[in-house]
Amino acid sequence: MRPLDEAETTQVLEKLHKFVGSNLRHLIERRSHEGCEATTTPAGGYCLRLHKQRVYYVSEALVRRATNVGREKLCGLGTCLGKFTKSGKFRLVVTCLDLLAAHAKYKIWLKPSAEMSFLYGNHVLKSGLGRITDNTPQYQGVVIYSMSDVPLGFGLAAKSTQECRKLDPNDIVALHQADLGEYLRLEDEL
Amino acid sequence: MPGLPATSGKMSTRKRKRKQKGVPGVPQLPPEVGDDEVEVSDEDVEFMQQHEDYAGFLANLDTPNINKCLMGPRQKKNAEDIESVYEKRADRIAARAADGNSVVMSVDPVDALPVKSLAGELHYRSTAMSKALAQHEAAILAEGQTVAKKPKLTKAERRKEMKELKKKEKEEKKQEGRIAEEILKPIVQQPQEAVVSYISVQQRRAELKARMAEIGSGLLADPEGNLSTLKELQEMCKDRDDSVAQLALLSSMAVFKDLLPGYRIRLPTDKELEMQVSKEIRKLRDFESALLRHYQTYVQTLIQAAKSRPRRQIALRCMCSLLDAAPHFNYRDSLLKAIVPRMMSQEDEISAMSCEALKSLFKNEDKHGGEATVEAVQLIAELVKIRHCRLRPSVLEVFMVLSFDEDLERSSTSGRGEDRIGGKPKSKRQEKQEKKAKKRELAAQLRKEVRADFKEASVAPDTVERRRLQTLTLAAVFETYFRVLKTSLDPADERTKVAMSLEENGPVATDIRPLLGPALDGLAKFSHLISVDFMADLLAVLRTLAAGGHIVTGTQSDNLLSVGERLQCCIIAFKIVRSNMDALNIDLREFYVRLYNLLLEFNSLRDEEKYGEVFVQALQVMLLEGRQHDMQRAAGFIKRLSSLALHLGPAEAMAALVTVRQLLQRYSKCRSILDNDGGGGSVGGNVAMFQVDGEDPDLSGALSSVLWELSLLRQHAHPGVVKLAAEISNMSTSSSTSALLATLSPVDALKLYSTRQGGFRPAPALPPKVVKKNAYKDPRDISDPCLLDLLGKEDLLLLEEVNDVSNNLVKHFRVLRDYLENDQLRKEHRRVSASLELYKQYMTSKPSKSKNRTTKRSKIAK
Repeated sequence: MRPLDEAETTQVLEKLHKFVGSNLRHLIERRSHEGCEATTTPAGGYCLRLHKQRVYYVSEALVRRATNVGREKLCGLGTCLGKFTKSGKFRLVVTCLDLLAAHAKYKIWLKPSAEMSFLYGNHVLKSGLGRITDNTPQYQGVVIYSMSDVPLGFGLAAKSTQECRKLDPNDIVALHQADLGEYLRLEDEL
Repeated sequence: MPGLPATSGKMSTRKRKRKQKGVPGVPQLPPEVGDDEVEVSDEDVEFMQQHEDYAGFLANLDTPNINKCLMGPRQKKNAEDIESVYEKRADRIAARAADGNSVVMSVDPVDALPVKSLAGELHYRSTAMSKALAQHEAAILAEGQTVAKKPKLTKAERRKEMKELKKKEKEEKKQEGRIAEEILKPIVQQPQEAVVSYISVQQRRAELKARMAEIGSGLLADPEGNLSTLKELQEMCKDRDDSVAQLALLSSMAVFKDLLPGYRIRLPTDKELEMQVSKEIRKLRDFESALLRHYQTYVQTLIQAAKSRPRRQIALRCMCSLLDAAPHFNYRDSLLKAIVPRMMSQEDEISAMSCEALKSLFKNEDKHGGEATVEAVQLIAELVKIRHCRLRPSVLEVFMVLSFDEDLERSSTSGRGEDRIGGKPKSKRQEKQEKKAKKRELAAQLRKEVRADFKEASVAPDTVERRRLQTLTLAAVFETYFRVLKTSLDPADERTKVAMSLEENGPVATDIRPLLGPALDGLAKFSHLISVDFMADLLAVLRTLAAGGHIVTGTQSDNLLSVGERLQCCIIAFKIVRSNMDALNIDLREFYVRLYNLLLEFNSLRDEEKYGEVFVQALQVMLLEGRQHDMQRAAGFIKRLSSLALHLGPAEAMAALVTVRQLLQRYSKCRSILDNDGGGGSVGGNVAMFQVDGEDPDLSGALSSVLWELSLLRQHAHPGVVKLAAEISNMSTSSSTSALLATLSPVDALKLYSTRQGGFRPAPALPPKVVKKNAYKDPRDISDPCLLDLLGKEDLLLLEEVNDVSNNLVKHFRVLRDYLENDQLRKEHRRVSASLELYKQYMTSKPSKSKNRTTKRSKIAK
């Protein structure tokens, strides 16, 4: 477990910025109430840690405690944001969905009929599009919700809002990146 | 003779003396003394006797004759002078009374004092003037009606009538010439006499007016025969005298209104002119072209007149009513070109008149088939472009009257479909094919003819054509709107600043963006007609506007839009999106953020009435009608609205609370903020702390807060607010959504509880003491319905009593005043009659002297 170096940090933050935009500041400056029960210590912030090629979003109090565990024995800590691939690229995984959903700028809501299809790992089609945030640019990271505001996953907008109006029902609106179904399908990898 | 020269000298002096007695300049008559009464000295007698030769003529002097010669004419002349003065004055008065339409009311000094009748009313003489215009017009109209009622005449009769009319006209012309000469004579002869010229002007006006009436009635009776008289009327329109010209303009307007045919006149081409035509057709053609010529000159005269200060209002009135009456007719474009720029006139009356004219033009599209609308709208668009959107708001408010037929598209497409179906597949065999082809051709030709005939016969204009016109109109309207929006984004550059500083002194309100309000209204009204292609750009512009123009202008605080305007932008964005809902369901996140922040700013101008309505409308449109929000956002709005309700007026607070309750009903998960423990539990999201002044409702963390505002609101002064707050706070425990005012919308709430008109709504039961206090107020207040609600039956009775008393008092004092007045009048009367008596006595004692004076005195006494 180690802090990220500069190149890695930029990579991670760029990826996050695609989804949360200017809310990235809130994500980084968020105060944690974890581990400050003894009111004397001030609430710590959150930080990013790299462990076994995975990037974790952890409160500082937890990091201090985790140092007690050996590197071999430590499986994970905090929230896993994603992992670096063998070729050095960073990928978000579904476990960061909650964080993204809380700060997302651009959202897509799915019709109930299209939810299952998306949860099996398919792209979002125009026919399944319930709502979309106004003014979404193309290839913008979007968080995908069900109509009852449950975050289902995230992906990239394949078309801008403007273009979406004229699409056929079978055209792809959002490209799939991660969904809740992965908790079952890829249980081992996570 | 040595003494001769001396005597002759003496003689001459005596003669002179004699003569001096009768010299003019000595006003008194010499005392009538008989010859024997003269005391003649001895010297004189001696002298006379000595020079009998010289002085003999004195004996036979004819004194009375001489006296007569010297004095008589003089006396007479004096008397004549006085008489003539009186006569002249009487003449003048009579002349003024005769021409009752003199524009300038001049009062003779004698008449300056009002006459008081016995009843105590004051009568001013010479006030019955200046009603001529209205009377004259009425007369023209009446004539028009009578003419319309006349049965149609046969040809012979008409010819006869024409002849008669012509004769009459000739005579009239002659007479007029004579009269004009007579009128002109005095002016030429005695230009220095202003009175005479004044009278002559008045006479001339009266004459010309009569002439106008004659021409008008003649034209209405027989337009074809008397068309040439229009020329005379045109001449009068250009008269030097303003009042004559105005009258002429008005009367020719009335004439043209009746004369203009219900179709557009097309002048025949050369080819058509060459062709041989029947007599009637030629007659009709001649008439039409003549009418058109006259109309053209009239329109030109009007446009000229509209440029001169005294005539422009009348000219504009004429143009407006012409446009209203005959928008289909030729030269409509020049009328429009004259009227449209006057919409932004500095004078309120003129601009209002032209705006009204355009509105009626837009409303009565059937009259001109929409072509005039297109022209007018394009002209206005051009005007807005040229003036850089710095105009009166009323210019754009005109567009609100426009109506667009949405079914046009559908009907036209269906028509095309039928056409396509009309074609049939061909048969294969050649002979049959040929035969059938021939038949088909015939049928097609027939069908074509029939269709053409039908098209001519049908009154309804072609749908394709109408659609084209509508598209043009819409394009111009939206071009204008978009231009206004765009320019309101621009920072106030030097040019507009200069313009503003110029206008600051003028009557025009110095609004930075005078047109934005009406443009936004118009966009909201026609939002369903905007093409989807424009929507993105439009929303982008609205977004920056709703942000107060921050992005473009930087941080110029003087250039920001007002809160009301920004709220309006948000509302319109929602309306546009909703009307295009079938295209795509869009979440207008940015606008929610704007609204969330505007709610804080709104607090500062809660006192302005119009913003109250905008605010409530925003709540209704954005929060209640827009169906889906996420929970965080809803919670953020709930929290902010309820804290806002703490410092708003009761009506707005009610509206806000109604919104809060409906949001809570819809998003049941949000009810956790009604619980006592903070933190929000699992739904609190990742934002642990509530940020009061956060900018984004999604990130406000409102779910982890507690809605403590409700308990404060339960101690509000307004009973309605208290009730509603209590109900909301009990929502989490009692699942029943029973409710007081469950279906109340924020807009209704504002109306119901608004205290703008005074009073307290709903009226609470006041203790009786307070009611009594109110009862002694001005009785006018009672007319307010809410106050009437407050008062019980007894109080009303009491009020009536009070009213009775006041009425009686008024009567009493009126009688007292009358009595005093009467007393004074009586005193005056007594005094005058006493002095009259005295004077009579004096007169009887000296009857010979000055009869004249007594009559005068008695006149005055009368």
